Amino acid sequence: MGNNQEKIDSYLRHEFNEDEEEGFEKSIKFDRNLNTDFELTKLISKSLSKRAFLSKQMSRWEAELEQKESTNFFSRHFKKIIIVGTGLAASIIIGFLIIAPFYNSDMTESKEKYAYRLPYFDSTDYLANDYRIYTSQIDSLINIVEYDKALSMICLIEKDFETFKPYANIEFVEAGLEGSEISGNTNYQNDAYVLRWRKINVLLALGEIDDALNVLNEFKDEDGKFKEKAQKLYKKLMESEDFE
Amino acid sequence: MNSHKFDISDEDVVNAIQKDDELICKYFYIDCRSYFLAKHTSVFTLKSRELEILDLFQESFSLLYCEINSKRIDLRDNHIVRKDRTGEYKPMTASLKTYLLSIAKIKNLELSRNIDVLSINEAIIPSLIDTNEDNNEIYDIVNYCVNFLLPDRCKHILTLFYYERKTLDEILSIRKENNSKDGLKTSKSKCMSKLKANILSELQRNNIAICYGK
Repeated sequence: MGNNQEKIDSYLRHEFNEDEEEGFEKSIKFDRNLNTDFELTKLISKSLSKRAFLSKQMSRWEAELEQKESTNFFSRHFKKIIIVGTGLAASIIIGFLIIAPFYNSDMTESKEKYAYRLPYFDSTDYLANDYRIYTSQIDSLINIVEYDKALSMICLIEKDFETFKPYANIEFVEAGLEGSEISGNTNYQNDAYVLRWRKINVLLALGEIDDALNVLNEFKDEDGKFKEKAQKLYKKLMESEDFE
Repeated sequence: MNSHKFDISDEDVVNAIQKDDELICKYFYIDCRSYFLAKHTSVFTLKSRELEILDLFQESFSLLYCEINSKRIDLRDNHIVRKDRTGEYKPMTASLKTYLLSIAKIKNLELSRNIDVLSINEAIIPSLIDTNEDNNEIYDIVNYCVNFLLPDRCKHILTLFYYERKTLDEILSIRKENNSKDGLKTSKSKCMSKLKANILSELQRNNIAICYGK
């Protein structure tokens, strides 16, 4: 087979001269083994070629993929940059809005633009569960620096608490639940007090100093958890040159 | 390109490969590539580099392509069938992509054991019993032996010699594994002899006689 194979290879690779080629072609007509080897070699060559061709095709497809990916690189990363950038910007803005009120100086000297650092408001200050939906919203509005809206809502809820007869309490009384009535009233009194502290601070943040002082004037003498803070604030406000 | 979603069924793929429809073959390749890269951890027993994964994928794809092209995987009444060891066409239960993964698993095992020939496995290697002395049937067996039974080093040498038409000196400069021209010549000769022996054995096993010439 070895010798035959060399002849076959030389013929297939066109390494024979004309005479040798003619001689080989005659041989395969009569030599059955040579003919079989020759045909098998042609089929092997065909199979190898097909395999190699597929391999080249795959390389081409890979190259196309790579080219397509590099073309898409900028647009793909541009999208990422936009998404990340927008996210960062949003985070910075939200962070600023949350932190800003606490980073303002306690008070500035400008009367027109009175900057006031709002203290931290703890939502556990509120006790009336049936009003928690409003009170928690008030704190949320303060946190996102929506002082106007917070003030409006405080004024709205305040009216309910002033009478100490909110709707929920009336229902309790009508139902004969006197204990709940007492407990309800205590909670409303507490929340009315807490809301007034919020109101003072929001008014100051809005630059409504006179209105804030009016409320604070009474509030500082009331017993409650904010009494000390209220007195300090009142003193500070009164010492300020702007108010002399 | 991965974002292209072509609704190509396995049946379409079989048809396309057998008719050399490059466009569908290309999209099938890309689809398989994405699938393979996503699933490669189940294929690899050891953590391998991306290039090796791609090599394994291409080798496996080439074997799958060969099976379809040689009609070992074929269509019968628009259903995909595959020749089993008894030579009968049986419906394929797995999808072509899943089948590709099983080829890759065996190929990877072969590589990790440093065995040069793909182990004959019932899951992959069908037998051939067609007695029709049609040249295409013989080619199918040749194709099968080249792709499945021929060691990789032999594939490389023979491809360089028969397809690339390189001389032995040129092959020697490409293949650093071969130290001398004589050694390379012997290797090439042994590869060819072994391949022919495998082909003749497969033909004999399937009762196919070769009757060329007068």
